[in-house]
Amino acid sequence: MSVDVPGQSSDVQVLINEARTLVSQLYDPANTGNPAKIKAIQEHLQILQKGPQAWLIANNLLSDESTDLRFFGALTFTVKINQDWQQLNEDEARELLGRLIDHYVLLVNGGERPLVVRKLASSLATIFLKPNAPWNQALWNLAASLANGKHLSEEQCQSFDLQDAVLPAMSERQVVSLLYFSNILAEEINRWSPESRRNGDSNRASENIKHAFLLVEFVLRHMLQQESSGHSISDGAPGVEAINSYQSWALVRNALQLRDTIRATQLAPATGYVIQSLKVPSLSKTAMQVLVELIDWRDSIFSQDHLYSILEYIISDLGTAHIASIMDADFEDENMTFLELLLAYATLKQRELLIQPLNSEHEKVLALLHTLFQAPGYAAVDDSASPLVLEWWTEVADDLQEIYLDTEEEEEEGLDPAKRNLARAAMDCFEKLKYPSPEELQEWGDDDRSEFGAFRRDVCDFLLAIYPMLGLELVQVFQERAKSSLVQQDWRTFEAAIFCMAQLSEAVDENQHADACLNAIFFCDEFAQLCTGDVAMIPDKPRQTLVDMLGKYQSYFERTHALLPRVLTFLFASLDVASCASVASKSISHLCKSCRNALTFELPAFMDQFERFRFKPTATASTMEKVLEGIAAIVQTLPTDNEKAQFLERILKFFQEQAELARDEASRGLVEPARCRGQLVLRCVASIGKGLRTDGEIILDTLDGRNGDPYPPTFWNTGNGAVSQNLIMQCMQLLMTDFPLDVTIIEAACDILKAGFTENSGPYVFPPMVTVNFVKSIPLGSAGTDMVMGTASAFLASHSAHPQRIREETVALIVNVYETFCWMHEKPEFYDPEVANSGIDFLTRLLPKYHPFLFALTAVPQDSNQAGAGHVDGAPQRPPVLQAILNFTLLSLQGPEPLPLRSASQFWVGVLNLPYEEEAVQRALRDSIPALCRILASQVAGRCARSDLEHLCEVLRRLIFKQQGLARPHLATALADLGIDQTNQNQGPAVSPEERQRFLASLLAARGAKAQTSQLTRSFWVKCRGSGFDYIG
Amino acid sequence: MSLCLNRLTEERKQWRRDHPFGFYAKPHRTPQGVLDLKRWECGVPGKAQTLWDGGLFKLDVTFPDEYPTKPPKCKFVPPLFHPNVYPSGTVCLSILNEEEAWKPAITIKQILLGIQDLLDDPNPESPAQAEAYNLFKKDRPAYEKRVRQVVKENPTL
Repeated sequence: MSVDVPGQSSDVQVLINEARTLVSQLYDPANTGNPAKIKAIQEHLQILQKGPQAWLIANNLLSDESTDLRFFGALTFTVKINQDWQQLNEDEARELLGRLIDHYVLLVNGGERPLVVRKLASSLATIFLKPNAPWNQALWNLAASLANGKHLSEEQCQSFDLQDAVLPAMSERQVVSLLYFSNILAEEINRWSPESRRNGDSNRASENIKHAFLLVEFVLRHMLQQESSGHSISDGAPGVEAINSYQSWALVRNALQLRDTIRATQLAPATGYVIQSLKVPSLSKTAMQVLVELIDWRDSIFSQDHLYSILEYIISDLGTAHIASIMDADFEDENMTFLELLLAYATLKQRELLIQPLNSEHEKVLALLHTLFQAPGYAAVDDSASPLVLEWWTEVADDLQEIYLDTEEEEEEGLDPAKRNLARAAMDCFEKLKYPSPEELQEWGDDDRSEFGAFRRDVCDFLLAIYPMLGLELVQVFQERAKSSLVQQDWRTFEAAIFCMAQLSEAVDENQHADACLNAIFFCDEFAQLCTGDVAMIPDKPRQTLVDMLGKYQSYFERTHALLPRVLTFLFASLDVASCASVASKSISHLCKSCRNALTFELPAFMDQFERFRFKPTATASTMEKVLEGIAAIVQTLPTDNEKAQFLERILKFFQEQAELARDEASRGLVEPARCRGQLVLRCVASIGKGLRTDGEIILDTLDGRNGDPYPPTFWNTGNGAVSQNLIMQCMQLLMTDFPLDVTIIEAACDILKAGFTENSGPYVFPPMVTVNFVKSIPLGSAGTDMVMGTASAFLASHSAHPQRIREETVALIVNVYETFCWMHEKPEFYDPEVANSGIDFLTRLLPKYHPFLFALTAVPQDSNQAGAGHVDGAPQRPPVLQAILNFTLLSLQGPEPLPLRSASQFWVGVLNLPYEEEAVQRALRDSIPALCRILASQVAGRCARSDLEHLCEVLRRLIFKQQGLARPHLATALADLGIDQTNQNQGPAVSPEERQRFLASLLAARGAKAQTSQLTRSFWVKCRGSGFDYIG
Repeated sequence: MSLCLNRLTEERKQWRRDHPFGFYAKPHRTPQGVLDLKRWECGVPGKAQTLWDGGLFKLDVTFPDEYPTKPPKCKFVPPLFHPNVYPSGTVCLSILNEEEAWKPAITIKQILLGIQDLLDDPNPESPAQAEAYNLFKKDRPAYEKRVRQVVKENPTL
């Protein structure tokens, strides 16, 4: 580097002028609306800043009259230092440093604006952080130079003591500029990543830490003296800067692990001054912020005296004035910062505050922590203090709980004061839970609602945290409040109390600890009146909370049958209220199902309630289906089939009429309303089927009858029950043929069929062909095909004890799949991955029990080529069923669609697991293994997607485990031929033939072991893809 | 083990200090009232101005003993209708996969924000459930209708 290069001045001058022009254009207000131009100017300037003449440009600009240009000069120095530091030799580096310090001194003494001084301070800090920077005691050196009026070398500085000689000789402006540099330097050091730090850096930093703290001490002492002598401080800026500097350097001390080199005692005076600054109005907020942060670090920077001083401040008039302001609804920054300081201190001393004898100071602190819940306004909406205080109490509860769990019973008394305080806090925040009136709520935005909701959730968390210590008393307190407010019809208090009880259900519902306490409210007359009385008696919000609460005490009500009629009556009535309908319907469904036997006599009343409800606006598919599931569960408990049939007919008749109505709507072109009604009908009919299922019944079909009838006559298909069954079938027929189907309708129809699969007899048990016809009736490509095929699988599963009885139906289902496969193969434009996936999945599931039927299908079905495929003469002859299916699954194994690839993998795992002794299986495997090996080899050689690998790997390992002899030669050939096959376009860098052989040898040696096979395959795949592959995304 | 708990304590602190609006995340409390730091209950809101807006989806996050070397498991409770959520509710996301993009430096906040992004921006490359995936690929209006239904069933608040 050289700043003065003779002979180049005119060229340089051109560049300097250019820079000036560009900078003034950059700041020209006329250009602010033109981002493209600004961008072009900046790019041009950056070229100049990095160019060979940048040192000269920067130097020149720094002496300019315009602030913008000086600022830009400082910035250019930083850019250039970062760019070219390595090019400078030691002398040049020293020269640069000296020159920058001279600039700094000159600018500061000339009254430069902070913006420019800070920018130049940052250039200096950049130098300090460079490797081999010829600068160690940077703060001392800069201070001495400032005091001296021009740059002094570090050697020259040694004769002036920083504390006694240099600092006292500096003007306030100089001191402030030194603080700027100190702060920026600390921040930059904190930005050092541990990796970029070198040996010796800690030492250089530690030299400066001491000086930085001396500077803080000097500035704050000076200001505090001034304040105490009665001269109030007009400008707090130097003090604020000093306190921030204290924090930044404390952070450096932590980050560089210098706590032993620079002990807390060395910092004690500075720490003391920061604490004393709490009392100075212009410094108080900054001091509080810094102290909160430092207390949080818990690194013992504070002595006992320091902490006591903080405590004194907190309970002083100055401190409590902030609390008084909060109680006046003033949640301004400074008051909230004080609250944070209070909480930080209280966290540090929480055990002393709660479980040790209190001194008078701590008594005051504790009083403040209780008082704060009484700040006016809604928590988290108006009152920002309560959420913070609640968080503190929750942490305290968690901590005390640990002690409590370790405490012997006889020592528990020691925790009594703590328990009393926790109980009081629970009562304090109870008031804060009260829900706003509907009018107030209307004024609230979504954010307010969500914040208040979050606060209420946090209160639940607190209640659950203190329950282990306070026990039943806690439930009792809320129960008593709930009861007394119910008597007085004070609904806001009732709502809050019920809310708290609801949250505590987690702790008491399953056990019986609180039963007596719960009985006290639920058996009282007022509650009975509430349940059976006029709907308008209780406002919506408390009703909603009560409905929620009832849902949370399900175990209690299951134990207390006497209450069920009134509670269910209340829940049924709540169905009419929009905000309650969903939860009420869930609770009805749950209680009716789990207590069905106790409710048989209530059935007529519930039916009446249901019949009133079904025309209300809240009677949607989702509420209706839950209510019906519950009612059907009670129907199931009726002693005779005849009684059951009567109730079912009454319910189903309504839905059959609705189905007619939907059909009529559809015929008039009202597609959406028709669909909605159709969905409602089928979902409800399905849920009735679900409810009718006996508790925990599974099909126990052990009768061994190879030629038995899969569909023997019963009450429900030939007796009086047939009316109900007919109504169900009619609903299906009306809505499944020539009706605007959609996925929800299909899903509900599947559920109706499935409802009968787990029963031996009942209205939902249909002839087997009904399922087959249903599957065949779904148009190819409909959304929901996966559910249809899932239903087909469930159908087979329900008959798996006697596959022979449904041979005909099974074959029809397989042939249906075969036809869809052929159709998609012949017309690739109709290929549908869902159809492929669900068909393969169906085949996979039938393998264990029904494979003999599949493997016997070695011919082309009689009427195949015409079925549904729009066959025309001359179209290719279709292959036999089994062959077509196996081919299709093999193609899916190498196709681009992830789901068919996965299901095809499972299919082949299933096929490989079949008993090889069976001739049909043997033949099929012999025919397919060569292709299977070829596909697997090419896929794992980098062709498949990474996420496909684990699925293909499963096939590979089954293949090697079960059919090593057959597979070995084909795998060897397929691996050897890799890369010759032109379709392998993704083939990365060639993997040598030896490596491929090694891969195969290792695979065979692993004999299908999961972890090994997967590991080997994964590395082989990565190798084939090339080393550049890394996961993106 | 203690590394795991230390990190989780720190995560909890950070979350309290700063968390994105509308989310919640807190360690599970057992019926006995004891905190289990290794199991968190979280809520992810749907992003504003997307199909998922207005929904709040509950998520269980379980941390293994080897956390943060290994990623936590994130599971929607109840399982969510979404192409990248397994039928069990487990979320399939690269940053949650040890063999893919998991890094020990990833915070709970980043995970939950990542999951929020995933809601409206499914990754069709790695389907986790057939139902949502098929509908997403084949019948977008039906998919959107279902999502709106899911949102209605999981409202914020």
